[in-house]
Amino acid sequence: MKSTGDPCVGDRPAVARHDDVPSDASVVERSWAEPDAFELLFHRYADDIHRYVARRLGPEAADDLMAETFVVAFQQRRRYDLTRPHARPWLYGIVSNLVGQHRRAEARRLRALSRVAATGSGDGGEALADRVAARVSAERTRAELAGALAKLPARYRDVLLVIAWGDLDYAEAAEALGIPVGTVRSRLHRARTRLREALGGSDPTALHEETEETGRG
Amino acid sequence: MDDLTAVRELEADVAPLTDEARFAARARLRRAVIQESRPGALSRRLMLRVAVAGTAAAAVAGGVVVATRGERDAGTPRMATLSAAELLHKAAARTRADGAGMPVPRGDQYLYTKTFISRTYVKDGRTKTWTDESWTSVDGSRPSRRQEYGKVHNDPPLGEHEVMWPPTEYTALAKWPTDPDDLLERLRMGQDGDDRTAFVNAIQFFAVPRVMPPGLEAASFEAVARIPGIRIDRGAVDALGRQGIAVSYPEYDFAFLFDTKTYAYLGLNVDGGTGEPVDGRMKLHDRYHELRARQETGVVDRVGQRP
Repeated sequence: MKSTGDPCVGDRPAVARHDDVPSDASVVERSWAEPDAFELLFHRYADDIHRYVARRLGPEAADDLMAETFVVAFQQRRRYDLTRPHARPWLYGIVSNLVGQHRRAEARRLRALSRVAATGSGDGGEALADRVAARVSAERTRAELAGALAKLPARYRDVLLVIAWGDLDYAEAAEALGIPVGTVRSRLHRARTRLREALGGSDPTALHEETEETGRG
Repeated sequence: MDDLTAVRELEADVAPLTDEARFAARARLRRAVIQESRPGALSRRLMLRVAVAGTAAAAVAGGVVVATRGERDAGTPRMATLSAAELLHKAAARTRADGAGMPVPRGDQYLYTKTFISRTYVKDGRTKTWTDESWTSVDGSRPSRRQEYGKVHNDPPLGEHEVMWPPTEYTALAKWPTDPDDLLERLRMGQDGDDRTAFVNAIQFFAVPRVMPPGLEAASFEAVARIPGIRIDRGAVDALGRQGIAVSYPEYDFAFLFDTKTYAYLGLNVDGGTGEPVDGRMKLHDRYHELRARQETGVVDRVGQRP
């Protein structure tokens, strides 16, 4: 285990002051003695977490994994670091782990997305109104993007997507994924470089070096 | 288009959470909640044995916040004039005098705790009791076994980036200040004058089992003594039927409980309730008063071993 010293001291307050709406941390703390209180977090974040999983794995998987996320979070609530007033990064950490158990499903979904859009571009053989052309172009971008996401190493994709889809900032992403902020920055940078290559096609051969990695780290 | 913007727009039109799925997910969470709070077979057996102590707690639970100044015998007049701060200083002196009761735990050992919980519902005086035994990995590197309201939970070791705060590890706690002013600063977490945070953290210090290095427990009581707004709730009886006196903070559910005569730390008082969220806040019904008595603690080498 890492040092259990007090790196958080002076960082942020542990719980809400006596404001009207209790902070996530104070809800978690309260749930220690009153487990029912945990339901507040569900109300606050169920939609958010569901949307994130739905984008990564599809709506059906999202129904299941969102529910699982809150059960796991509830069971681990005593490990919640009460110096963190917001529980979103913590929940994203849990859901990222769960999504990580479905890498193959995610890859399948992304490849399907890239194919759907790719066949869509075939419509271009018909009458090419500008509008249609624009749509086709957008679909092609989507396809390329989905294809590029599928090829990203899982650890890059996790960082990129908790930021782009989960709306976490760098510090929150670091907290969620349990990695240093510097690592968040470098992984995001590398992920974006690869996406740009895929979208711009500046160096298509570079992509072929990236086979999907299943390992984390 | 910017690559990050392109990613943000990808799958942005995904189907939202349906009411049906929301309901099912909430039901799953509720099941987990109920499973946890349902007393296991073990505590049900113990319930009979502890019924007597529970009754004693029930008798006072309703009137805990009401001072019974001067109404008690033996030493009560002395107690009546005692302020919360004075009580805490006496508690600090008491724990100093007790000295090193516990051996220094190694990181790879376990803290054994036996907690007696007595919960009395405000409305009808119903009482429930539990005796929880837990084995907590000192440095979090090993799986722990935690009993909560009778139910046993097997907790996996802490993850790579998980920590306990305040720390449970002895070596980490040994670096904590034993000067009450410095410790209060630490408990305030750098938030100048954040008394509530300080009180909450002080409670945490005792709610989760840990072996305190010499002077730290005493310093905690002295640090709490410096928090403005703390007050005494007389007339508390802990779950084991010991006469107690509580030190609480306004509008906070947890309070410290000390022995009326010896000033020894007995456990925690909790005012709680079951409830559900309404407009982002918990609406409590079925309020209860809970006494959590520290019955036994010790350092052992493995889960299941008792000191």
